[in-house]
Amino acid sequence: MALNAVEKIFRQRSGPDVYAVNGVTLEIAPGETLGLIGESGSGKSTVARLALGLLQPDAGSVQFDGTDLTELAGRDRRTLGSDLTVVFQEPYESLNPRMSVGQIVEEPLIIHDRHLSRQQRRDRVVEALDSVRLDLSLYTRFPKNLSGGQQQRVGIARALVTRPKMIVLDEPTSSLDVSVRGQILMLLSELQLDRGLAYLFISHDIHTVEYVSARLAIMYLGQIVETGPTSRVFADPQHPYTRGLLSSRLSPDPGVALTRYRLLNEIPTPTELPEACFLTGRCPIEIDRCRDGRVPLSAYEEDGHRVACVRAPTSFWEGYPEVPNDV
Amino acid sequence: MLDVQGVATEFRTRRGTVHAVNGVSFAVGDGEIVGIVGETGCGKSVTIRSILGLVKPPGQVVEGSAIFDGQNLLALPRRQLRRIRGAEIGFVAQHPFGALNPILRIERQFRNVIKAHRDASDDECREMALAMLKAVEIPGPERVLDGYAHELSGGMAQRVVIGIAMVLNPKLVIADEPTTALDVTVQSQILDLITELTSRGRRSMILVTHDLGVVAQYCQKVVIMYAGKVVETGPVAEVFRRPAHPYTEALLAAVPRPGEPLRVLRGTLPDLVDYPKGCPYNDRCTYVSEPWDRSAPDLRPISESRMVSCHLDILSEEVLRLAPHGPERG
Repeated sequence: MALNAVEKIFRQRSGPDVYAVNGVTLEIAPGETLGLIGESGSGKSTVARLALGLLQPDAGSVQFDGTDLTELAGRDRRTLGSDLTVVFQEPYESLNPRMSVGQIVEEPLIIHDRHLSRQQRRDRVVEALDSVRLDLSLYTRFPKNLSGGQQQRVGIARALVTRPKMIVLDEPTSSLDVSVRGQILMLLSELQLDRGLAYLFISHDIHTVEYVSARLAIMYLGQIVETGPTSRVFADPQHPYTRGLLSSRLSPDPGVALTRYRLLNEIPTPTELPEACFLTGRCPIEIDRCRDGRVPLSAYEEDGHRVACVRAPTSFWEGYPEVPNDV
Repeated sequence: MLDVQGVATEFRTRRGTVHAVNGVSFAVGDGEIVGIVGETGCGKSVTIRSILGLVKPPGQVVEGSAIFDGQNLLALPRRQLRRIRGAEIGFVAQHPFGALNPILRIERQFRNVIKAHRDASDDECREMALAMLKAVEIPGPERVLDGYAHELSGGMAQRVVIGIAMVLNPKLVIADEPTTALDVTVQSQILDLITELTSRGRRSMILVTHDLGVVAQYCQKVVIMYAGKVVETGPVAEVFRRPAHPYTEALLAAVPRPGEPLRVLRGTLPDLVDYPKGCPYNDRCTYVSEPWDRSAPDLRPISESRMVSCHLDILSEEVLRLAPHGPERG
């Protein structure tokens, strides 16, 4: 999967245009997990829909497995739908309440794999339910009779049944409780190992993304401000936004307090974007040069760690207010 | 400050009686920040709504007491309770836009709360509101006072709600998931602010949350709830370091930590209608291999500051050695 300089503008009938995605480039290799983090309004869910071909970009290209999604239509889009699938955040809302578990999981096969016989489809559904460890007795049940964790397993089974190469996971664990979240994360990582699946894992939960992703991309106002191997980005965040975001996570271990790097104000609505670094106005280490124009991602280290900041490498953080969080 | 004893709350529904809260006891000391943690359905929100007299039919508080400043909140007539709520106990809800009135100016909302409890002129109210908005670090407080809720961002709206909750200088602030609806960078700003204001005014606070990080970083004491009961309570540092209840242990181990295997809780919550007679955690407990036929364990002290409701003493070496199935790792 490769997104190249993708842009998406939502035009509203009443009100200003919303610049949701502004030149996003990212790549995901087979069998790899790329974590995409950002706050609400950062454009991460729009990226998910662009990657799935559910939205047409206004500029740039989206390629999957050698084909350009922006040029696909009708039938071809349909075949692709079996290789590239999705799991949504709200398991209940993403499942048709009038369909049984079996019907829900079978539906993608009816749409995408038309050559399968009824018996073959049934076998595939059983296989998918089995791989997410759902008891076959649930086959005839309806979503409302399932727990949140079971509903999300049905969502995953539906994404697996066509034997895809890649799954877009849009906040798959955000609405789940801690204990259920653990179960789903374990399941996803086992499935990835068994089947060589690639994941685009989208979340605002920093702990979860750090746990599951080999590589990371951080989004702010429709732009990727930093990307690289997860451990590198966590150890040496270069963009002031990344630093602020990562340091705002709360360690579950008392006594382990992170130094807090505070960003000013809140994320603005992307209706008017400045011809400057998007963080101007919120950045604690802003200098005049930040207002000279937009700042593209550029290589920081050879391991793929890239950052969009004129001050990188930021080995010094003078003027960056540290808030010690000792309570 | 607040002493809650044996509170039980039920909801009578067509399916049967839902035992949402089943004998919850805990105490909040002067100047203490107490976290109540648990997963969906554990009864943490219903517990604080019971204390505040905000449970609506078909819900009903059937047992228990909540002594605040020498008075039992659960036995007070409505009018008297209303006098305490808002003035002596401030409440911050999860969704700021649900808590604010969309068609009243912010100033009016401050004024309504102040005048319900104090004899104050409009000018005095405005002054108090302005001072409060400055305390919650809102830029341009005059403009905000003259505006409406929808003009504010989520974080700013929650600051206004906190301001209204604290304007009458309450002794106790109860916050129900105050940052769950907010983004992470805003979350830490709000938590810094609310705990700062609490300790500056030497107030006490109950912070209801499902986020163990919030408890670890902001609370001194923790109350862990499961299936409408308190399973463990004590100082955060001690409970997190050496949990005494198998559920607490499993909950702490379910937090993803890079490089460490995830430990997963098996099973699901018990049915709150057909509530188990014995230990509600029995089915999921990794320390027992088969169901107990013993009655439900009581909350018992295990040290001067800690209580646990478990038949076993999982901190003892002997139980660890004998436990045939637990503690499960990986």
